Amino acid sequence: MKRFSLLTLAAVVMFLAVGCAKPPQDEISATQAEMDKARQAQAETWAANEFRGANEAMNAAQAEIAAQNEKWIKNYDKAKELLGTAKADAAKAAEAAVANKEQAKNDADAAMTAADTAITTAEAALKVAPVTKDSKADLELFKNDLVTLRSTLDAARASFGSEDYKKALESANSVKDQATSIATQLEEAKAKRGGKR
Amino acid sequence: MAAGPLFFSLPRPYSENVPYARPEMSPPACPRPRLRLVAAGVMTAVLSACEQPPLVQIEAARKAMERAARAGGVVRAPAVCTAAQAALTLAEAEIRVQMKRSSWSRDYEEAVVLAGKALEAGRSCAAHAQAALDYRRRRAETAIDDLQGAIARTTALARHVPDGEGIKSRILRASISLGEGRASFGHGQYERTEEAAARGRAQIATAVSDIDAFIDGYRADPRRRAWGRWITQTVKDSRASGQAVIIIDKLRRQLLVLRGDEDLASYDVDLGLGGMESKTRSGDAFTPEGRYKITEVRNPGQTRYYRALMLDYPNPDDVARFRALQKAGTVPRNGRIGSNIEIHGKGGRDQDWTQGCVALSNADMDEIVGLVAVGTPVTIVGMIPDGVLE
Repeated sequence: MKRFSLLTLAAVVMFLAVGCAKPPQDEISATQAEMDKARQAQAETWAANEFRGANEAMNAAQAEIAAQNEKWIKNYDKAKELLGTAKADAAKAAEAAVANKEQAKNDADAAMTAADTAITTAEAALKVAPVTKDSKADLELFKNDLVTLRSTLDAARASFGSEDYKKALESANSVKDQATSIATQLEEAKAKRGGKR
Repeated sequence: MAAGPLFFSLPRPYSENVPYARPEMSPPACPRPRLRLVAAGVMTAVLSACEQPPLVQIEAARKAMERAARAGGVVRAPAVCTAAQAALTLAEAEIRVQMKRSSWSRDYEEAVVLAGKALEAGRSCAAHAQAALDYRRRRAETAIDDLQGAIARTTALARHVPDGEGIKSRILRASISLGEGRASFGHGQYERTEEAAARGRAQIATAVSDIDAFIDGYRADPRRRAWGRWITQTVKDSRASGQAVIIIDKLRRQLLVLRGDEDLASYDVDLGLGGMESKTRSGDAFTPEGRYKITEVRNPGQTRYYRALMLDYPNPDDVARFRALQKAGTVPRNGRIGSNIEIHGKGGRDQDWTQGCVALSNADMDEIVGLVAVGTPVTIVGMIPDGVLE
């Protein structure tokens, strides 16, 4: 009888403990704070995959919490685990965003310098390209192309100034490739001529 | 222990041997406590045999971390691989803790979970590290290829300008950086490859800038007005006479053969290794600038340069300039003005090497002698100004 009372008491205590479990508000707040930090670090742009993972874990945690809230006997252990994952992933996303943005900035800067050199090389090659009546029209076209490339590079610099490093990088690489192509064509035309008309 | 019911092997109940025990108070001759003990022992042994540490997963996780390490895991994917290492360490620690316990109290349930997580993390680390390594490799390869192309283009440009600004030295340093980059690439040191390529690019950027600055300066040279006048007059005379003329553009390293407004031929030339200045005296290795004529055509066997078109350098303008320089003390009193300026063969070297002559390839010389003759005007200028030959 005494034993039965003890067992019953234990069961009631357990029931109350589990049934009265509260949503993990502290963990939710901490995870939200990490997610906000990641957003401030522009993780959605610079660490999109990592941030997506954190977001998915957060959404799963919130769905789990909502599901548990509907139950009589609540258990937020799984939700806490998901929140922990989301928090860790958000921290990683923030760190990755800072690193990726810095890398993108450096890459864009190097690409613009390379593009500038490529244009200058092509311009110089144009200035010393052999002059003949036949080549005059082609040289004029190349000259106009190089003017356009200079404008495009200026636009890339403007993108860089606005921290749109991806756009600056793409533009600069395109300019570099086109300028290099012009310089190569001038050199090939000269080689094809083989020194004579 | 013998097979069969256990109670047959048990000792006789002690009540038969204890004199003071009343028969009705003696404990029953029941084998259950010992049976329970033995059953418990067998169960423990069976359960212990079923509980094994997750060593297979741990070993797989270790191998994944080794693959990641070969790809530079901690450097290339620090967040993922640091977490993977931590997971592996945790799983290994849990296994060690359990193994230290007595066999009937071991519980590997937690270790199995941790080993599974360590394996998943290890595989993720290996995948991330390899992807990062492949990405760096592609970047390094592109950097090396770009630098190689830039060096080639800059070298081609550099032959149009004198080396007073150390341009060739910069190109050489860029080439050295290219070599360093290639060596690093061969050793899989892709970050060092990119660093070397960046050094090379910086040298090339400066060289190109210097080349372009020289060209722009040369194109703005005050002598361009005189050059333009000479060319205009030469072409005018050609129109009037119907005679072929030669115009040599030193900056472009180009020899044009014209007849009036008609282009007959264009050739690449090598010039005097002294630089872009106009010849003023013997031994300065500059190619002269001015209006000349072909005085003699020498064929194979008559010149050591395959074929040659002799020019009438020095002309009266050259002599007058020489005298003025002597008077000014720029040229020594006993200095000589020089002679034997030719258009000759054994050229086509893509570099300036003569003592002031204009060199073409032998094949080009074979062509040009068919277009010109003794008396053909030859006008040598620093460059053909824009719009003069329209």
